Amino acid sequence: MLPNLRLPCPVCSMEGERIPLIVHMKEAHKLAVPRLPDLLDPRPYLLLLRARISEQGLEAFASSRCFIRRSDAMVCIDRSLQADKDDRAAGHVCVLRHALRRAQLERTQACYVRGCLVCRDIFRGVRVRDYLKHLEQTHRMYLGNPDNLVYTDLFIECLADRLGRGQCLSCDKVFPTQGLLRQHMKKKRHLRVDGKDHSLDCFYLVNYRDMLDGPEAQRESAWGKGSESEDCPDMDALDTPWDAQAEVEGEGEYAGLDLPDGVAEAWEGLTVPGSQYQTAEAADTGPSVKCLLCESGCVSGQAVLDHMIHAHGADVKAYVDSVSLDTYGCIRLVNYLRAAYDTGALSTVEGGGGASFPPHPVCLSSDPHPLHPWAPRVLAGGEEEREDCYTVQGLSVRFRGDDPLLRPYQDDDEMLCVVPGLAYMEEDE
Amino acid sequence: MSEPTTTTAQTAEKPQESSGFRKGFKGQGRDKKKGGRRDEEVWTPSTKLGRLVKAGKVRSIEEIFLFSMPIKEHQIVDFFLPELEEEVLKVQSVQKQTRAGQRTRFRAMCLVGDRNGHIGYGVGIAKEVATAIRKSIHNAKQNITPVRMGYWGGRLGAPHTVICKLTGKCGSVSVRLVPAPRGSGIVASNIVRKVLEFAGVEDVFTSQTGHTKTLMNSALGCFRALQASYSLLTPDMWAQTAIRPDLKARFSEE
Repeated sequence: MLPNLRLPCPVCSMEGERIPLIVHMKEAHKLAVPRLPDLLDPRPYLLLLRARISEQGLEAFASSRCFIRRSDAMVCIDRSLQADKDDRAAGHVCVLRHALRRAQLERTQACYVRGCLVCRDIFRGVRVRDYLKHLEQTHRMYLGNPDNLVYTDLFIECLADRLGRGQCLSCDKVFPTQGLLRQHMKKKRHLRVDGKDHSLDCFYLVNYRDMLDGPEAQRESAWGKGSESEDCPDMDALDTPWDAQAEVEGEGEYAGLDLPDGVAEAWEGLTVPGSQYQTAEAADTGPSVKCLLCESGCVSGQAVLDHMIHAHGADVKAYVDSVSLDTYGCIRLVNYLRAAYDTGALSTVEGGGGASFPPHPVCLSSDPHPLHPWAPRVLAGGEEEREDCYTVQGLSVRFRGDDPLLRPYQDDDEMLCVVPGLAYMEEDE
Repeated sequence: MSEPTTTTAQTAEKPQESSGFRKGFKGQGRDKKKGGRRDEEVWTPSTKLGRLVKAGKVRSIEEIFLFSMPIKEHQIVDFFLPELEEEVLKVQSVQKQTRAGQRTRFRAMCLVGDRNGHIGYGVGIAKEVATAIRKSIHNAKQNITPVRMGYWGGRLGAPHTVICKLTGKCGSVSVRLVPAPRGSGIVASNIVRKVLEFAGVEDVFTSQTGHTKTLMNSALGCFRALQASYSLLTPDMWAQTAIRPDLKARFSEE
């Protein structure tokens, strides 16, 4: 079941988590609801049960169709009761619909903010699947198919709690220090969630589908009937634990130390890494890197290059190799793309949402844009300026003394550090 | 030859006690300060170079760099560069497994520079953070190195960028510095930018490869790239110069 859910009591107005609620129902109302822990999200079912009990009364609803356990004098609801089955099915459909809506939301919205579980990267404004992809590709931590996961933010928080307690994800062993835990998980390759751990079933969509009693009951009662039912409570009105603005904070391990004068000022604000699984302070990281051809942001320059390949079909490295750009050529290319995108000089791909990548600078147009890296500056007399000519392996490039394309168009542009590195290996030292 | 002395009752008397020396004192001098910490304002050089510096025989720190003399005392650097800035880059705990448990110490990494062509990088390890930071600062001063600045285009104004393309490597991180035109600024990651600012570089393009998240390697790679600036023999140095004796040979009688 989803953690920290506040479940409503079907008899009174009390709310609480699963186990306290069960204890409350047993002690206060002498009521036992069968198979309540099996439900991934029993809230709609409990609300429907509350409606029935308020209509018919607890004794009438529970006693007329059940047995009384003489050992503890409790009343319980008969499993074979059709009304109860209908309520369960209707509740399940509500839960499933909400989970599907939530899964769709997580697939499309790019507003997830969290630090990585393993390294100190902070992700801002990304989709959840990009976060999971980072865990899988960078740290070999496979948590499941992103299309099968739901309530992923809670899922990650659960895993982060376990890792913070020193508990391995696969074998549930607890280690005294984070270093030992990390060593164990790395050595044993315990970077997957234990498939037998049913406490995490609520985070996988396939379990919502298989929750009912077999496929026959699923077809007969729940799907056709429950979907049309107006009695199904509005799940969105319930308190949903979606926190898209969760800030990651970590305490410095050396806060409050007495340092000599003059050094304390330099020490302030310094972040000191703690355990490997401790998430870094949000203030220590810079903003996300913006793509050269669209508005989307990525966590690093290399991620932008990958994004450009997948989203726009623009392989910057191949382009740099094809026209034999050197370091300065790459810098001018990045500044040119930034400036041209902002001024609208780059053509927009229809339906793609991003600008097209020029296959070759001379193919843009017969009259190159003034910001074109290879556009010569025409002097007052009509002659082209020939100062500071710099020839690059067969492609004549004119560098002026005040070349605007050599000045960073955007402050703190990480692409200016990444793209020239692509030409680095080609140059002779 | 002196006559043998005989001990009499008079000579057997104990000599007069000098002031400050009492009977029964177990050897700990009264003047000795507890804790053993030297007064840092009074510098007693322990190396030949230190003695020459304190005596004023060395006119500038560039003479020390010219003869590639190792600096073993941080006070030498303080003498020539009193306005050095210091910044602690990182402090981390390191542990060693012993039979009694784990022994934890703190490792501090520090930068020093005058933003005018001198940069130093140092590491210090100690049981306490403050001591580690102090050690790292001293180590950084001893590792101070000159940075050769140059121009990108025309030689107008003061040098603003690196002399040429430079590369420095530490671990898996390779840092490349590329000259940039005036006004470009320092195009680099946070830690490399800090190192370059302390060195006094105003405009430079950088590129890093490897596991750049390792702060120590990134900073040290950039530092080594800057160190390499004076290791190149450029055409303006081709003119033959008279060989001069180094400082120790010149002042050997001191």
